[in-house]
Amino acid sequence: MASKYVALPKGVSEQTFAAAVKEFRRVLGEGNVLTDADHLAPYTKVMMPVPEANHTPSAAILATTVEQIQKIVGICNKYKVPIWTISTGKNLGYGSAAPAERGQVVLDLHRMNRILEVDGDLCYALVEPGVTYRQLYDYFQEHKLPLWLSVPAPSAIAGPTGNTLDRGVGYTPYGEHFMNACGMEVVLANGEILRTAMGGLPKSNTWQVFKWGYGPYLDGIFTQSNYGIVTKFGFWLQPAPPVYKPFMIQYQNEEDIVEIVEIMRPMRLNGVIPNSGVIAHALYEAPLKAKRSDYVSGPGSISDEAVRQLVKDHNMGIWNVTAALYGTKEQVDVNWKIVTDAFGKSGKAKFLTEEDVGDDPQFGYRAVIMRGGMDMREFNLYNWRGGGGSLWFAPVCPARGSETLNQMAMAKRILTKYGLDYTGEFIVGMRDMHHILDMLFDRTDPEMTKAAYQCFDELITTFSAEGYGSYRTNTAFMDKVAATYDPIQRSVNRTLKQALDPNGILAPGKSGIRIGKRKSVFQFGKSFKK
Amino acid sequence: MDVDRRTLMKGMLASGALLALGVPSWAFADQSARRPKQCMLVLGGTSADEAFAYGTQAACAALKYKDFQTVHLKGGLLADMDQMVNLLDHSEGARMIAILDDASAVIFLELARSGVRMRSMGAHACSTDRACHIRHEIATSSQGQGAGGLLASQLIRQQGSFAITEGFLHDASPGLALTAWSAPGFCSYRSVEPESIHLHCSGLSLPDGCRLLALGTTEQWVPVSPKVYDRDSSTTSPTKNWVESVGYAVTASALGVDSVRESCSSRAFVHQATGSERIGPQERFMSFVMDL
Repeated sequence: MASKYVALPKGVSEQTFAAAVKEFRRVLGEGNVLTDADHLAPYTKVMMPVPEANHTPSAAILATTVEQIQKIVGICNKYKVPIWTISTGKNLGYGSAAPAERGQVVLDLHRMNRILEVDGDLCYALVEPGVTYRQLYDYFQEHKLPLWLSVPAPSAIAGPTGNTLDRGVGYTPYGEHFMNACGMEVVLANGEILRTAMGGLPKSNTWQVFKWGYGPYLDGIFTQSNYGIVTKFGFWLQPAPPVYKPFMIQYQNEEDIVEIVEIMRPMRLNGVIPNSGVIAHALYEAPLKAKRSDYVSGPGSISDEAVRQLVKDHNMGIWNVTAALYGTKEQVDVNWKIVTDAFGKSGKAKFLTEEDVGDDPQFGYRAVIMRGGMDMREFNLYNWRGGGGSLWFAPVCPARGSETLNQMAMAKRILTKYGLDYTGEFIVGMRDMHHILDMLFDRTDPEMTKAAYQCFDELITTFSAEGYGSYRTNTAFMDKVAATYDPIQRSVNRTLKQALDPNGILAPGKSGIRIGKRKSVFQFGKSFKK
Repeated sequence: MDVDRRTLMKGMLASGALLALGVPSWAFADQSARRPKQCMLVLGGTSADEAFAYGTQAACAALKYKDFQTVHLKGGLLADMDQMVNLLDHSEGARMIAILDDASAVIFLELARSGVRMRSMGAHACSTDRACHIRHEIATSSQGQGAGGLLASQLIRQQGSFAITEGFLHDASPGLALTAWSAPGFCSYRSVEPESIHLHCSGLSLPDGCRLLALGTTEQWVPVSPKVYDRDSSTTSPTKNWVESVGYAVTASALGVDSVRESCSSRAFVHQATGSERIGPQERFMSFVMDL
């Protein structure tokens, strides 16, 4: 007999699930509990090289209050129904809004979208999880607040809560988002409400200004995890600087990245370049200016010769460094001289500023997002190959030139083996770089889809074997990435899960974490050593 | 945003031509109940817009559907998503057919996530660098809303190889009697393990069809008996190229043409052309059908 539902949670009977749905409807109202295929279809779409059936939810439920969420976790515990929480659900290329496992109920918080507080003096905001960057941007404009956001590439449609909880990054001086998070409210699996750090103090007036509180710092365990549902989120905002000077530096050889990183690292460490700048390969920027089909006619990855031609045709670099200076005119002038002196020494660098480029789309969109503006032109990436396939591979790289070149070469070799292009960039931290690689493939092509899966698997295996761990991954590969980390870490994660969510109702599988008995991995003389 | 009524008039003119070609009116009997009161085509600024719209107009003409609105989004959603937001906000009750490039499609889906009823999403591509040039991957809410059979019936009239895969989100097949699509020249098979799949092959063997679709060979494929066959070919119409065919099939399905409800959770249609291939425009785009 056909099931009434498009999917069921693992180990939950249709009868039990129906009872849970009935209770969800009692709490949320009929229209906020979606179980029919038409309504669930937009929650199933993934860009990963796996069948969408693997990630089909059994239901999507839309909550608007903390009290509702408390009741929902109660129902989930009662019926052992797992929920997968999304805020705005824009984890594109990492699993989008679809759950990690088939049958999980999506708890969609996008309608919980109140901006609770913006303090223009202390430069912070407290928001609900459904608030988007666009909402905040508009709010600042409307209230004439001289504050800047730090946004990821999906800018307008994504939000600070989800992005930060998945430890996403932006491109301003506040680009390391979790570093600028300050205070959370979390609904725990037992329905209790935790306010982290200074939020635990009655009448607290420092919740969004002092991160650490008293005792263990807990906020970190609610990122990339499944230990609670964040219902309020505080974060810091950048005061708008009097002068903003974005710039681009182009280099014409892949090996030049060694020089770029060696010059850039000290300037990031000493604050001359204050923002999370980017070293983008030509193929990361090319979709803004060119069509792949103009340069490639057969199967396989694009050739180096074709990339050189593309670069020449569109006034790009093989490497395109974009960063910005912020401050008073005097500060910016001094720092610009330091930057141009340092990069100018070898004679390889070509400098571009706003005055040089006109309405160049590559410079244009980078300039917008480095001041926290709304610009989604980076999505042109999805037109490069077409076919809707995208997986972000995100290994962390030490900020050393030689390591950067090594990672690029490794990635390119593996991608070429599977006929895929190196569409990568390095987001420049102080001591590390996020090597971000969009593995683009055509989902309409079964062969390429299969190759994409195998390629991603090999990237994880090969990079981790060299000591390069992924800092973030998609829902199809969370277990695989988790397994690259040391078993003691995984065991502690599981212990925390067991303690905080003994029925395993919150996002099982997130970052490879599920309930289960802790296996002792400790052996005398064999503890983890570097 | 530009509501184009001129194209609608052209569609109406096409109507007479199609009727002259003998598309039988009974093919569309019973679809009035499923027909939406208001339907709109949103053209997202892709290079395939025009051909897709022509297919849409042909379907409207064949179905004598007049209340059709065409909306042109200039520059896609990357440049300006507000026009789409407005459209979604102010078109309640309408059935929307949209054609978008891959990048805009990603944003569109995010904007439309809750509050819409998604009937189908399709990725469509033609490129000469793959074994099968024309490829379609369709996700459909349920068997009753599938456009795959209609599309296969359209495409088989043209001289080109193609592959269509269609997955049904809600698998109602356990409640359906065994039914399978058919068209002249196709051999059909079904596999029940690990899930019920129907595979329709034309011009190539079952193993070659499986290979082309990267289907594992472990499934137990059984030929589907001809007596359970049903046809979509009676509802087809001549179209000039594959993009028009997609426009036709997606629209006809959106307007309530009752395609064959196959008793499977997913299905695929593979056709290998013999002789010279007529490839058609090298385009790629996504199609959506949803109720707002």
